[in-house]
Amino acid sequence: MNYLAPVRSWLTVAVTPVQWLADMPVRLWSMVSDAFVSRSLIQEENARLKAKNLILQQQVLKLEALTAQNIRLKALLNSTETLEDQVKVAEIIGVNPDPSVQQIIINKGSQDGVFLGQAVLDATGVMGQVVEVSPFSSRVMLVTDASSRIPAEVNRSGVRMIAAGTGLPDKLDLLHVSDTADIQEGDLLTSSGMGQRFPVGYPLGKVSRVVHDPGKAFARIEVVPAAHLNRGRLVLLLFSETE
Amino acid sequence: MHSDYGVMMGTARGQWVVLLSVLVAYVLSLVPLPEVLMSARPYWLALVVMYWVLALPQRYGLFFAWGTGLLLDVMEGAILGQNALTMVMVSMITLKLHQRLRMYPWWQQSFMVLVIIGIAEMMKLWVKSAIANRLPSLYMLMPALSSAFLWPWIYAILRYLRQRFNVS
Repeated sequence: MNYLAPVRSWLTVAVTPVQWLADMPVRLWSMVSDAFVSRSLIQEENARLKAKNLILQQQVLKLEALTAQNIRLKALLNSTETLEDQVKVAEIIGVNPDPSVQQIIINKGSQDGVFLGQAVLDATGVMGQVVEVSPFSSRVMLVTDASSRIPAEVNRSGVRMIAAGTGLPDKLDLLHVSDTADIQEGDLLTSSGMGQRFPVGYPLGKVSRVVHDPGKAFARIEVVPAAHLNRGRLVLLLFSETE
Repeated sequence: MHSDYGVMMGTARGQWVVLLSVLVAYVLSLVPLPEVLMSARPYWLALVVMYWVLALPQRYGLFFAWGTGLLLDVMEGAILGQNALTMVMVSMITLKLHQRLRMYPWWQQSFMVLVIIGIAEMMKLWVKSAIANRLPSLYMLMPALSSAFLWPWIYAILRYLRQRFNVS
């Protein structure tokens, strides 16, 4: 079926320099603005980061105790142990020039162990999945792409549904949710791990609007994605070791 | 007569200018733009290839257009052949009309660019809507408009380069 995949993969290697070149102006600009940032600004940022680091460390302390407790409880319940997820940092080197396609290109490929369908996160939530791998770069379909679907659940009530991309950069739709389902505005949505592709429990977004239309069979629910999809340059590639 | 024939079929000169212009077109079609400008990004590759087909139809034709289009597909992550198909279409129309197009004043050329790239954008939309659920809207003609607007400048710049470096 997919005879052209290797051809495409090697052509991608050939054109990667052009993609780097196209990314150069943005890269240079950020380098220049980094070089000329003032000393007081850096000191200010340093202080802020130190404070934030302290808070995060405190939360990690609590998290470790909770994780240990969770493992013990799971052992009591005889359920399988979930191992820790490994991540690898990748850098965004391009975006898809087609405005109707929500895709990014990252600078890690099959040489770094990236595989098809791999989940991609950022510091705040699920970004998307790898849809094309070449040796030195790969293409990530964001959760907001019109052909993206993610199994999700509501953190508060545990209601499961599928979150579909809309093609717009800041909106997801929930598909086939009955009017009586326990979902409210402001609910946190996490990945449910049902499709065996995205790991369980990473934040996906916040419910921003719930519309119950009597003329429609299902409720219309809009979600704002949690990940910063069009900001920042670094993403996390997730290597789950549950299998 | 004899020398004319030599110019027509002689060895290619200054091909690096052509390759460089194609490379610049690639970079311009990949450079990240703000959301507003993105839907009006000119079809850079079509403009550049149209110029070379118009200027040197005996050397640059369908295969050139197909190859450059295929590489653009890989760069854009589009389905393989989408841009190759539209580029072949663009260069075929240009080849058919090149003698007339050369005679036209700039505004008439620009109008023809609008029509040709409009056709190309429509073919792209057909391919896209056949493989995924893209919403067709008249915004798809924005690239044709911006391309037609830029054509006189592209034409002037590339003609200057062709004469300066004696590309044949």
